[in-house]
Amino acid sequence: MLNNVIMEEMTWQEIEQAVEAGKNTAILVAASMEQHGPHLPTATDTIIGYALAEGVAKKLGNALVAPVIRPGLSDHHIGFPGTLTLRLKTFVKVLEEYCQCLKRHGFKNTVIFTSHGGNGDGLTAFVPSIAKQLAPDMGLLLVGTMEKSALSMQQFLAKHGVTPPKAGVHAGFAETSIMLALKPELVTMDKAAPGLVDENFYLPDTIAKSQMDSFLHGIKSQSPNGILGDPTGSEAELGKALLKLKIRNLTEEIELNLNN
Amino acid sequence: MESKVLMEEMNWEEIRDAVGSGKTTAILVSGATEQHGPHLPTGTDTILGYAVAARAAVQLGNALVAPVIRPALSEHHMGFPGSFTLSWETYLAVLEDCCESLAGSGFNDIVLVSSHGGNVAVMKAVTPHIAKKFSNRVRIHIVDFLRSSSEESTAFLETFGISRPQMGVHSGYGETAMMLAVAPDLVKMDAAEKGLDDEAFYEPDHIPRSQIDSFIHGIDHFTKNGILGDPRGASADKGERLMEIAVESLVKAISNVLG
Repeated sequence: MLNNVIMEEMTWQEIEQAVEAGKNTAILVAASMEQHGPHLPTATDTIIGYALAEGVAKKLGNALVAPVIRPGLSDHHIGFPGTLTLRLKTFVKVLEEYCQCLKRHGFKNTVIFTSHGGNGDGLTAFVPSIAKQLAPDMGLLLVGTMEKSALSMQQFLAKHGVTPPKAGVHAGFAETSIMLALKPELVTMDKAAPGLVDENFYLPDTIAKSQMDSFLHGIKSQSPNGILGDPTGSEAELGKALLKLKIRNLTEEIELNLNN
Repeated sequence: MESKVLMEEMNWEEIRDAVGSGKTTAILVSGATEQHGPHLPTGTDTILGYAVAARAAVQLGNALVAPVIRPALSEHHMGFPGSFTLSWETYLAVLEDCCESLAGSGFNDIVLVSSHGGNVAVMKAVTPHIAKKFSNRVRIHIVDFLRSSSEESTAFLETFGISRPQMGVHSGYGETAMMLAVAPDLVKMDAAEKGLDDEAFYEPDHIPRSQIDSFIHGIDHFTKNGILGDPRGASADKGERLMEIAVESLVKAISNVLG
């Protein structure tokens, strides 16, 4: 408890003392409440978001974790029961108001990243205008763009014989392995089945178009079970390693940017 | 699996099947992320919101619990680090967006509930607007278990000599006892101390005025440690009974509005 970094689990005095003692960077993750196939819970991105944020905050040593933003932008998953989404303008207002609160409590920097690909474009588009409102009292830093993080995961998984279509981008081998490492009791592995495994969907040069198609037509048109990837055979051990890798990448990127 | 009611712990097929088999009511709780004294975590209202709604849903048998909305309306707690608030306009937008998504998931009824007193006035004010907007797709209801359970909770604690000002309205004996029953690992009883003990503040006839004053001047104007009440001596067994009272009250209120 002494080293707790999750603000929701801390008292206001603990938060005040931590900020005064130099933990004045806030980690703000945008996640989702959306379908993750027939085997993962709808809170998957939120659960992973908390785990990444906690790992990053502890590694940085000068940071606390704000409540994860959820729901996020999940309109393309709305054909599946249990998916919740905010409209883009609601999402941007929520983000802005979180940041205003963090500024009022004396945080010097807020680092934002997403644990859900669908939020990426919205963050990239609107973080600059929010940053302008907050300057010079609080700095805003957006890190971990989807492409970079996805690429680094792909390379790691390739070493273990997991191809990009298997690793997937939504509820596939990669995400399922991470959930097996974090919350195995919420994973129903006997329901795990291949989703969309068409190689052409996952190529570095086609993935942007694939995502645009998801936004336009909905994930349901691409994958009836909601999975983009193949979760069969997922392994907790690999999930643990993937988390570690993501946390390391994020932390390095944050340190590089905040120290310059 | 049979009694799974938290949508966020379920996958989309489980939610589809649950709705298909008659769990057509969604309980949408507004919680808070705000200071709760030197002894309770800022997630208190959210944690209690999940706990009360989940137990109620299991008892009702026809309901699922949507992800609790948080942060919500806590401007009056912003004097304390760790509090988060939305503007009321954004809160309304979030409520509408969640109702839209729940309507799309096949629910017939959405029950709006608050586990944080500061949300109630705005929630009541905007519910007719939301209900009208969705009237041809889903029925929107509102219930106030904080209010409907308050007299029974007060009477229960009074039998142990715990007064209304001790029970309190924020991080006092009542809320602290409930947290000891639900999430004891997040309660620091050795940091619990007396908050505002002005009896007049807690008189039932005065409470609306006290609340408006809190909104205008901020909670920090009334209590330096953020507590309205006195949490000292709170116990998990009393908290368990307070949970039961809250759950019974919510179940009854939801049954009533569903007809």
